[in-house]
Amino acid sequence: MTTLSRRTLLGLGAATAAAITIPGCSGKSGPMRVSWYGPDPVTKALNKALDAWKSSGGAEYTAESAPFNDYWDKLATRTSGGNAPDVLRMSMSYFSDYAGRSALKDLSSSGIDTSGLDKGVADSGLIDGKNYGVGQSSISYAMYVDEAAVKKAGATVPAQGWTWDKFAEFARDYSGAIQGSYGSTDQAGNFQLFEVYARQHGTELFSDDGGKLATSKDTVQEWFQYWAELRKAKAAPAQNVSAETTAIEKSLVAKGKAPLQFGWVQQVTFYQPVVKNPLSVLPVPQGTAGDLKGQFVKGLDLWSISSASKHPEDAAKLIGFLLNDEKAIKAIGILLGVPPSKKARDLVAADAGSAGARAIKYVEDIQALVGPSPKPWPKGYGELLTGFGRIAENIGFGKSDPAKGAQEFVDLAGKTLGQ
Amino acid sequence: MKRVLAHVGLTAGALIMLYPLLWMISASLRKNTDIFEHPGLIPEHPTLGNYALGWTSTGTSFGVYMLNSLIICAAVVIGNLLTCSLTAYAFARMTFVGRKTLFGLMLATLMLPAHVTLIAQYSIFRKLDWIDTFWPMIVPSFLATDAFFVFLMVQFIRSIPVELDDAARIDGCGYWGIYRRIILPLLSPALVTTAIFSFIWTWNNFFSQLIYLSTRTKLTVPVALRGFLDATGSSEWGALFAMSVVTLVPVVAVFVIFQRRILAGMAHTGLK
Amino acid sequence: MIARLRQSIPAYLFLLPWLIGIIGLTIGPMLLSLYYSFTDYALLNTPEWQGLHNYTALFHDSRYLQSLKVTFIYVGVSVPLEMAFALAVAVLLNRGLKGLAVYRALYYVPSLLGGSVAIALLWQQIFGSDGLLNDVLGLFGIHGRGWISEPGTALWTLIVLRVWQFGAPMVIFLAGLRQIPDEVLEAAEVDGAGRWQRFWRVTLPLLSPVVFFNLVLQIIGAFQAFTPAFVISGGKGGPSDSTLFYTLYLYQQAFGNFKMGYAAAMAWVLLLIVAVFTGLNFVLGRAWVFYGDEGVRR
Repeated sequence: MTTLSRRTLLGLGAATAAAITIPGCSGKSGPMRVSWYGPDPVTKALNKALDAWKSSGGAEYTAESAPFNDYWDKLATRTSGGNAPDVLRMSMSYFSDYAGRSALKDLSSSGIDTSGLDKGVADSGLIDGKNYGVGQSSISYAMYVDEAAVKKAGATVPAQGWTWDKFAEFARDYSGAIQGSYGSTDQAGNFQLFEVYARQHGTELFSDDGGKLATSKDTVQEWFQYWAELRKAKAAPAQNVSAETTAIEKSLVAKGKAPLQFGWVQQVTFYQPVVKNPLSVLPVPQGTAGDLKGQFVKGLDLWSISSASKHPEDAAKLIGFLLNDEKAIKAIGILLGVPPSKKARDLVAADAGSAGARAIKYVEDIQALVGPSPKPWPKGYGELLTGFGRIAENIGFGKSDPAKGAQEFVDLAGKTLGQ
Repeated sequence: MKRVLAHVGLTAGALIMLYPLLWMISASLRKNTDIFEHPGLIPEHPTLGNYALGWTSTGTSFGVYMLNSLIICAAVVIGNLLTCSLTAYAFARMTFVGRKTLFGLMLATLMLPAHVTLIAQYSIFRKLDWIDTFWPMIVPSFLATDAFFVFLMVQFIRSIPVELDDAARIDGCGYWGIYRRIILPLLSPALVTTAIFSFIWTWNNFFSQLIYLSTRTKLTVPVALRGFLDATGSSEWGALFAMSVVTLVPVVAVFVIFQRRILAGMAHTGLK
Repeated sequence: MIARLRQSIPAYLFLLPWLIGIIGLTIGPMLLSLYYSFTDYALLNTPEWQGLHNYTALFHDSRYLQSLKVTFIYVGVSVPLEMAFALAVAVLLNRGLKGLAVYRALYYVPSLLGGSVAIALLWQQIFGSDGLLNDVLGLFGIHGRGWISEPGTALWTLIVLRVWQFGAPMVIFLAGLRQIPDEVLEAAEVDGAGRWQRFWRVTLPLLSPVVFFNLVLQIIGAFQAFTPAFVISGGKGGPSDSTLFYTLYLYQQAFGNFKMGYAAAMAWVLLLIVAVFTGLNFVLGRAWVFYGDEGVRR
């Protein structure tokens, strides 16, 4: 290893020193703690942004990070043990669970400058007039399409994506044209895509107070039915095929077995490296062609301050810095998602031909066309998210059917919401 | 002839046992995407790039994580050897009020899933101001909290003929003398087993190290390894496998060195 | 009574570290979890008393019943297989051949990998639809399937994983075999006992405390198996809840759904189940376990 240098050895020394820290001497309220989830590139980018904070005279801090799933186990334990970090990255999936149980601080009068943020993003963290988190990025749902593959199958990609009917037709034709391939991946268990579908049917997914499901059982059933038919027509893969797509590298689009993939807009940058052709970023299918009101732009990852923080002023300043400072913006780039303000997007200036640039352009293009953004996802969202996927899987394996599955989901929502 | 057959059989078995390790090494020599595309064992374009990448890519040298793990594991081995043998000796050889109840209690601590006691334990360590230090991993081992090893040693002590204790008692040994001169030497297979398992299991123990350690330079191997993967984003598979291979070196070494000691066992204690 | 207490003092001195540990670190959290099991506790709020509600809810929860079923199959199949493998290999690798130390190390390798994240990908690579197993079956003209991605077979791949990682009980058996004095076996040989007779009449009875230990602890361990399903199914217990181990479901409830009270009730039911099995083992063990402190039957 070429890197076993003096620096490495110094690092080893530091570790030894850390190991023998005498208990009781580290002080109860040390410096402000900053905590986030994400893979290594995110950690490196945020550390760089924090370096900029330090060199601009910002308060002392310590930083820590973990992969997404591990982060939540750790945060729950520490919050419950009265030891939550001061500044923390919060996902909308768990936001209401934390905010609703008074674990987060109201930022309304914290003086964080959110004036430049996209509208749906600035108030992403509003619950009952209190603001528990500031959006880090502007996110919308999207479809990434390998246009070259679609053309090869003799089809064309509409600029605004397909309607659901046309999409089903396309998926069937594609699977027929290219042997061993599927026109679509199976999205039956995708609760986040279903939210768009529900909104296309005229209601929000949840009631305004988050106390119950607003969409109807029929809509859920129709959704499960739609995908069951695509599977039956072999336009979407059978359940046991989907069950093997456990990593981006194993996804059907990466293996060239499907021409498209669904996900949050910024995730296209994770798929692009494993797909040969450029992926276009398009709106998801619609009920009426060109009507994108089902979609929304929102901040789904937020900066929050824990209610037990002993450094609330510094924490607020740091969040303001990460959102508005030029150096911080440049350091973060698009690693937390598409930047949440026009200013930041102009500064980041991703490579024109890159997937990141296409993601940014997508968000800017659809801003004016999407519907109003929904209220924060309610308490218990995490359980519904996994429950929806599980029910769809049971249908896929023939252990249930769309009607039973829809009823099961409505029952689960009845039990989970409003507690 | 019989010997040759035995070797052929054992080697065939060993290959099945070894396949995953070979596969891991092979994967560690491939580019990220090749890992998923070519399932065979021989990489087409072998590269050591993953090792260099994995060693440095977290911003802290992987050697730091290894050293942290080594410190914790070594301390846990010592703690378990010292205190579990004392506890086991008392349970196996001494009479006292409440013995059966306490023994049952000890076994019961093995039966409750750790997830539900985690938060209360976290609060205790927080009151002691031990969060983000190695103490929550180390101190419990000095208090014989791992009932697995206590029970293991109880079973081994109970199979030592009690006549040996009597003989020592006639020679003037008290409980401590019997423990030091008779039990500990004869217990060496169990002690070595405890040392091996303490080391390996602590080396692999992910959950408590995730919960208690936060500062980058204090993280341990299993926590660092999981950092290569992220469900929400891109994963560094090549680096993960490269570092997984590297982190196997110390555990294999510990096993190879210590297992000889198990086998020394009875024959070398001079107490036949 | 006082005399008996006084006689107990030396033992309590030996037990001192353990007593400090169990009183200071273990009992408190255990009792607290028992209290949580009677409450609605969402981790971030204060627990609210609700009596037996969590316990009664368990039996109306189809996923809970599924997790029980999965766990019982897992324990029932994997423990006997793992024990048999471990004992057989330990006896084979005990002595008599050159190079046994190398084999011992090689046979232990799978257990070193533990619940490493690498295992997840490896298992998919072996048991996936285009994995190694299907390649091998293909040689015999058998058309395989995605073993790990279908609810009918996924649990069996985890059972294979446990059996394949038989290293820990094997090492314990080896240590036990080493504790048997050579002269006992030699004496039996002089008396004209053959290989099998020596194994059944001498080795096995002398090894019985260790067999007993492995049996008790493997059962406890298998009931609490968490890591394999957690790592291989990505924390979900899928496909279709077919690998939803008891403790995996417990973890999902506690940390995924913020239902620590419910999870604590699950934990105490598990404790009862495991305690019954362990108690049964101890009662049955009286008939077949021989200790050095009660005279060895020869």
